[in-house]
Amino acid sequence: MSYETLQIIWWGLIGCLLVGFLIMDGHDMGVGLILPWVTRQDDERRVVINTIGPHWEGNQVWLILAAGGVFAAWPEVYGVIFSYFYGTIFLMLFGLFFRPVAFDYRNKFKSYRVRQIWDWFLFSGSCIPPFMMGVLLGNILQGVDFALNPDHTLMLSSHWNFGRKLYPLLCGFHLLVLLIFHGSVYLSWRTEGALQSRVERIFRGSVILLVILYLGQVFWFSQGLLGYHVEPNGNVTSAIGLWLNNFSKQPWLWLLPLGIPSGMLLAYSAIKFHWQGLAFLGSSIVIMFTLVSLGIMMFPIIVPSSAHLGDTLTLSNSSASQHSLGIMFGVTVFFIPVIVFYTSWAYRVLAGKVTVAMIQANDHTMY
Amino acid sequence: MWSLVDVSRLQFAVTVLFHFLFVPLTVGMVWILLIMESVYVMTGKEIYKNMTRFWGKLFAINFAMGVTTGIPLEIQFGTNWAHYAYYVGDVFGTPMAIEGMMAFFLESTFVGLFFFGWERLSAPKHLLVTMLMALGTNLSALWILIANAWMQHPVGATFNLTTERMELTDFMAVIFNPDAQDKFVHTVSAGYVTAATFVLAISAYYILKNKNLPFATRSFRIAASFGLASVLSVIVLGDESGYTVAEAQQTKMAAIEAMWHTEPAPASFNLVAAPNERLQKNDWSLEVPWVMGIIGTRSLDKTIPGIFEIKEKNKQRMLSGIKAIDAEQILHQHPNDSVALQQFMEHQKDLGFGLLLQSFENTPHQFTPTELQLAVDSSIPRVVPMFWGFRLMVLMGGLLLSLFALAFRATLANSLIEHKKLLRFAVWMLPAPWIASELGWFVAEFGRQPWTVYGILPTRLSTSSLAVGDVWLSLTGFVIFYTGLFVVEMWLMVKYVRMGPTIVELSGNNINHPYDHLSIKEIR
Repeated sequence: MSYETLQIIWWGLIGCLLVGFLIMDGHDMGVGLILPWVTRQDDERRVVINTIGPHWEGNQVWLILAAGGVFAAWPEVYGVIFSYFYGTIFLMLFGLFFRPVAFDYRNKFKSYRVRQIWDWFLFSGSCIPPFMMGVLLGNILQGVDFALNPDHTLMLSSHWNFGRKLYPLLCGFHLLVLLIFHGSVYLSWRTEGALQSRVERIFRGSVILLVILYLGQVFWFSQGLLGYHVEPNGNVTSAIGLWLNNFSKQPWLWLLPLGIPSGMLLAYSAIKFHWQGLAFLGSSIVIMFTLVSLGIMMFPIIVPSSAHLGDTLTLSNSSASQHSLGIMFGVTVFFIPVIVFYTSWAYRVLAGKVTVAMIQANDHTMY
Repeated sequence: MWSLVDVSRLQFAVTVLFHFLFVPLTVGMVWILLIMESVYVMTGKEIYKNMTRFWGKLFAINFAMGVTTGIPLEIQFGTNWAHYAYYVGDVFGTPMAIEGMMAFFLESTFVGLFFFGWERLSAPKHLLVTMLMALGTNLSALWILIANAWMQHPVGATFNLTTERMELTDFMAVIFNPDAQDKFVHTVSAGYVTAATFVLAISAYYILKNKNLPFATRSFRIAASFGLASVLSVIVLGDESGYTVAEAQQTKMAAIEAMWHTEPAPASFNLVAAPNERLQKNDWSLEVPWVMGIIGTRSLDKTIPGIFEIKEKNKQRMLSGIKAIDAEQILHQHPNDSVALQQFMEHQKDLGFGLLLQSFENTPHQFTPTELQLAVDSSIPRVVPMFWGFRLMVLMGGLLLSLFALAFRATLANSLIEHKKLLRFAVWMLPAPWIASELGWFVAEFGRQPWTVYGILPTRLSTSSLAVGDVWLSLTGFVIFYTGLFVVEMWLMVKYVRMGPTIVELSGNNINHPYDHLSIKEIR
């Protein structure tokens, strides 16, 4: 397999890992985001928590693997992004500390007051990390103000410009709404009765917000955002609307972002007919095609440099060696299906609605 | 004044030592749980199921902390060690990613089923879940230790002049690195000892208090046998590691032994000594003849290089390496300069040493004799911490060996309650494996200095471009969060140990679990 082919495959694989993360851990985080708003009753809160309790830690591994994948496939990107966005990454990291303790320790305290604090921990752990990831994405789309030394280290500079922070904050918010959308579908699937109805109300609200946000993004990409593009001769150029260049070059690619509204429509109608499993497929499709669209849009640019176009990190200048990419490819292609297989087995074993009766009957063993 | 490198190192040390408080217990406990549950499935005796559930509860409290504190380590390679990520990421990233795929998913998915699947899975199926969980945790140790072993003994990779980084050339060599094999068995054995001590000490505590005797004596017995096998393994592999280290990292061996000069073979072992770093000698020492030579070289006639001799050699390597760097400079501007290429090839094997010397240059491309001496002195890790750290670890190992030998003998005698002294010894020994494990890592990592990748990349050149203040800030964040998490975790652990097995674990199938005897269809 040629080096170029491997690099393109890895573009896709990193995308797959990110899709996997957002579909799997995304619904956990969505549920955590919804938790404080959908009920005040302790038993009902436990129902919500137990829909994701047994699975969330396995799902979080998609994030760890995505980071590990970027490290292995694009080592230079890993160092540059994580050190440039030191504050953002650390806020995300500290945000990740809130969930494990919330899950494991909440039920070990008897007082509802104390449990409510743990519920806010769970909320924070489901809110801060994805928000920071959205902020990171927004910053990357905007072009990052970095330059590299000859030895590939980052040139140290002070880099804080509030005006350039607004769009990333919006992206952070957008990702949160997307996860609430996805999480509410999952939660509707695993709950019943009045709780389920309240969840579905949140679902409908998130759909409206998402439509507005997505339309806003498309508008911004074409009219407002300075986009980046790699010319055939290897030079990087930037201009407003240039991010959509890949689509203009091959117009049939516009079919792919259409997956987003299709998925939303599927999810919306399926929820109405109480086919929640199908709705979950719909919301997963929305996530998948969001990333596919971003992937097509940015290809082959990984991190554009607004300060020094020549330092832009692309697929061809930041990839690991052919040998590494090849080995990693083989390992990934084998293990991902295995992982999907035993993960779905785990979900199947513990499938079904989580109810208040179940919680009360298994008071000591459930979260 | 602390430099960026110092604070970055401190942060990594704090986070990794904290992480390693939880990992050994996880890695070892899974096997104890598996043993207990296997006995249950094979004999049908409920008490073993209850033991699995009780110790499993303590395991859960610990496991969560292990995962939580593990994530920052992977992240730090990017945030704080960006040049390391660039320079060796092509090699190092691979085992890390494989660890994620092969091990993390396995352990994290099946840990959920372990806790929540008791009612929904048949006994043999649940046992399979436990087995897969155990496999996952131990595979995780395997891959991270393959990665760390590469840092200690960088095989299977070469420097690429165009991309200016190390690139993987032989993955099999990386996997089958003898350092990796020794490290893996030694480290997981240490984890097994930790778990065995944990179960032994707590069981001893219950027996002394005359509580939960059937439960505690059976747990004690299992811990004693498992622990004895593990402590023997950890010691044998410790010896094996000593041999591989003597080959691959002579500086580490010399520092551990405070061996300032090469002795005639076979070298003697400094049992205790007073190493004087300022004067570069030992003020006094109590030596055991021949032992070091035998352990380190497995021969009677091979010498072990002393610190002075190593420094001399390193000096020569630095002077050679700087020539490789000079050649590299020229090749940047003129890639086709064959003279420069020739020079680079000749001195390539000392490139790392050239980098180390270069890192001390105040004026680019020039070094003074003082700077050279500073670089040479830095090429050996600090002797005093290495010397005592190693010995304290071995002392713990010796104490644990005696504990498990006595415990094992006592379980054979079948009258545990009467062995009051032994039981108290067991309780007191609870911290010992933790002390030994942390010291082991300290010796391994501190002993690799001044390198992140031995002989290839100096630590001084591995950091990210950050302001020192940023790292102080993140370090503070870690200390605050970790302290809080630790307090809560310890509070819970102590509470549940004090409480002992509750009605849930003691009564098995009863009114608390109405679904136990129903099939899944009936539940729905």
